[in-house]
Amino acid sequence: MSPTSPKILVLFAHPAIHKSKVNRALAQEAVEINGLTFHDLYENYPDFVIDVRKEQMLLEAHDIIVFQHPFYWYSTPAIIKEWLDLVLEYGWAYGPGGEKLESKKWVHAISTGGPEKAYSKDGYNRFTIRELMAPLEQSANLCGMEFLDPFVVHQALKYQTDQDFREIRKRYRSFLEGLAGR
Amino acid sequence: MKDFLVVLASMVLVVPIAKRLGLGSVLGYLIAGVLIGPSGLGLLGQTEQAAHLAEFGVIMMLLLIGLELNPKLLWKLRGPIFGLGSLQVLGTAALFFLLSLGLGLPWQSAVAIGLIVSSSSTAVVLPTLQERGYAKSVGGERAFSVLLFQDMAVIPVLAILPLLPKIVRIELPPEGNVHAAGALQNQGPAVKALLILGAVVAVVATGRLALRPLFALIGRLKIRETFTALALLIVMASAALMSWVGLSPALGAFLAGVVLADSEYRHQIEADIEPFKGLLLGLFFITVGAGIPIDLIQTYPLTVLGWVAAIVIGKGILLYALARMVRTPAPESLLFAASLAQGGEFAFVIIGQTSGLLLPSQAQVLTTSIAVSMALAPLLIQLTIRYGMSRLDCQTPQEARKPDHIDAVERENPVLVIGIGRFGQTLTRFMNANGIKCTVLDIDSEQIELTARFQMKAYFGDGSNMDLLKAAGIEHARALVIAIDEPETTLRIVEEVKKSYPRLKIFSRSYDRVHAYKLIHHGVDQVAIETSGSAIFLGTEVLKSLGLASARVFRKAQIFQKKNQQSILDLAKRFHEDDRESFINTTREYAQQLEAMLLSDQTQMQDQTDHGWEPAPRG
Repeated sequence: MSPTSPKILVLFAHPAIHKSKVNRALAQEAVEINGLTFHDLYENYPDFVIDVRKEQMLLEAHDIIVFQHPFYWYSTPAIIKEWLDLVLEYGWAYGPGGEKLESKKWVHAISTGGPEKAYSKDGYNRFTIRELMAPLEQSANLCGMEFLDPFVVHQALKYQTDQDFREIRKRYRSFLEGLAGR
Repeated sequence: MKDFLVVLASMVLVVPIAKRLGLGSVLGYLIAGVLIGPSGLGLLGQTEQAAHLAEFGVIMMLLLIGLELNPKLLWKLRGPIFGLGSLQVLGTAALFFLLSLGLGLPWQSAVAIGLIVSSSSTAVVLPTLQERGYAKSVGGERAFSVLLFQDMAVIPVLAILPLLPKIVRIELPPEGNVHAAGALQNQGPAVKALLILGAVVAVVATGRLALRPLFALIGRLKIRETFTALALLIVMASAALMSWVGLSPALGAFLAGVVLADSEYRHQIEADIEPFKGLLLGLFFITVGAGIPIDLIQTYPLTVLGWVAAIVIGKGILLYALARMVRTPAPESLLFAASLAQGGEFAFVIIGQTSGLLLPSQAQVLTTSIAVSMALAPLLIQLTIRYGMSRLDCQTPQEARKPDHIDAVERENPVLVIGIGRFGQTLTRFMNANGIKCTVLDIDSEQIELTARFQMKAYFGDGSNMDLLKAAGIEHARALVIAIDEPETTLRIVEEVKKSYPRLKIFSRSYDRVHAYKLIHHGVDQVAIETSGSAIFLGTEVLKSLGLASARVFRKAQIFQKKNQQSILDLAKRFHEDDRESFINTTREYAQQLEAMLLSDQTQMQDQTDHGWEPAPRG
């Protein structure tokens, strides 16, 4: 990526990374991309004591915010909720004078256990992923950010061989590079 | 063989009885000695050999004292050691010098007697004070300081004695005294001094240059017995070297101890020597007891009685006066005087060096009187403790100061903290960070000054004194935190506070698990084992450095800590001091369960815990 291209911040959240081969592979790929900032929330805040000032400075220094996490209960792992609650302050992210995030981009890279077809009106999850993400989308909207279509790895347990992991890593890389190229 | 059986049997039989009767073990050994000795039942034939063996008990004790004598302690006690110590030695020597002159003895004999009587018995006094829990009191600590000075004073004393002009020429008895025989027999004073200096240098140099590498080597080989053997070898070799040049063997061991005091093997050597010391010291007391010639006392009852009285009363009065002179509180001065008002084992060594200065019969009377005074010492100390000083009067060194007046505002504080040491400090800071005010008590004025420099106020005062707790506003407090490091005192405080203020919540630092169980039995509301939190914290950092994810380690630490704390509460219910065996089994099972639970998560991909964080098996 060239110095002028938009800066990407990956906020990674997995409470038990030793249990997830897919997320390990994806995180590894993100770390290896030049010029991208990779920030592991559970590693930095195992006690959930989030350094709000530091997080806000990180956000200010980047243009595209990628939340990478497993899709727990149609939402994010707990620490991202905590992060949203604390970091996106009134008067900073929204409300009067809250324009620090304006026109930045907000996007999720998620893994799910279920297959793609389960996330539809007729599937057992009854909603599409994009529909389930409505609260997140509106959060981005309130902060004046553009909410992009998520990167999704369905049926995470399906990926077992080295070949499988090479394939999703490649997919993730082109997704991230594509974001920067926009 | 028979003697050996008799000695061991008397140790096992008589000593526990003496202790049960409140006489203490030192007196028990002495009584056992009198009982089995030639003057008692006559069960013990020759005490000569046993006495030689037993001397190693004293030698080992001196090594252990040397090991304790690091420069820091020496510096802290410099006043009492050198001031009080030299006053005591010179004062006693002068007193008995004059007394002997008054009895018409030649001046050389008078000097010898003065020096002989000036020492007290480290072997009797220290174990007695320790057993009674008064070793750390003002009087006890000052007594220890003086004993330390006496141990050192023996060097010049032993150097001076041979230089005094002899009044009679006496052939050494054939069996000889181990200390008197040696390389110096026929040498001039200059050669003697040179040899003595050489021996001291040899011990120090060997200790510095050779012993550490040797300990390191043997430590690496991990042969436990060899390490013990080396420790014993040092004792024997330094003792042998010293007696070869004609000095007290105990002095050699003491020197070796000081040389090794700041080495990393100190604790190992202590642990190895300790049991030998205990046993041999016991043997030493038995031989002292057995060596008291009851028949001599019967022949010259008044002479012996007179000397014993002179030693105990003369030294006692002098000691009390000295202690008061340096502003020791009266009860402590009494303890100090009672502790040192006897002759010591060094006297026997010195008497061995006085052939030609004292007549054999004089030496024998003196030896007997000193032995009797030593036998009386534990009794005297115990009587003093029981009747001379009430519990409240016994103050630890810092307490000589009056308790601070506590401001009325501070008495309203919701939290009362006893102890502003490493533990109390952190806790108080944490309270303050939450806007909660604490009233803090401590009995260490230095510590109070130190914390005051960091804007942390603590009042001087004894937290185990209920009146003081009342003055500190315990009635208004909603929580009492005990953060001192003496387990026994902590228990005592809990007991007393629970009696008077049953509804006050008590939070206590505990030394270890067993202490925690006892505290729970005493009714504390919450305990924290003082080291477990930090051990888990540091362990967490180690695991992270090994590459484990911090969220995972953090969670494990939380679980571990919770289970650990729960197990303390559970196990406390089953803890009875009498039934240690079954309790140890329960504890072991408990620890294994906890470990197994935490391990299962580490060894298996399919965890026993935290399943929610896995992708659903069939999506």
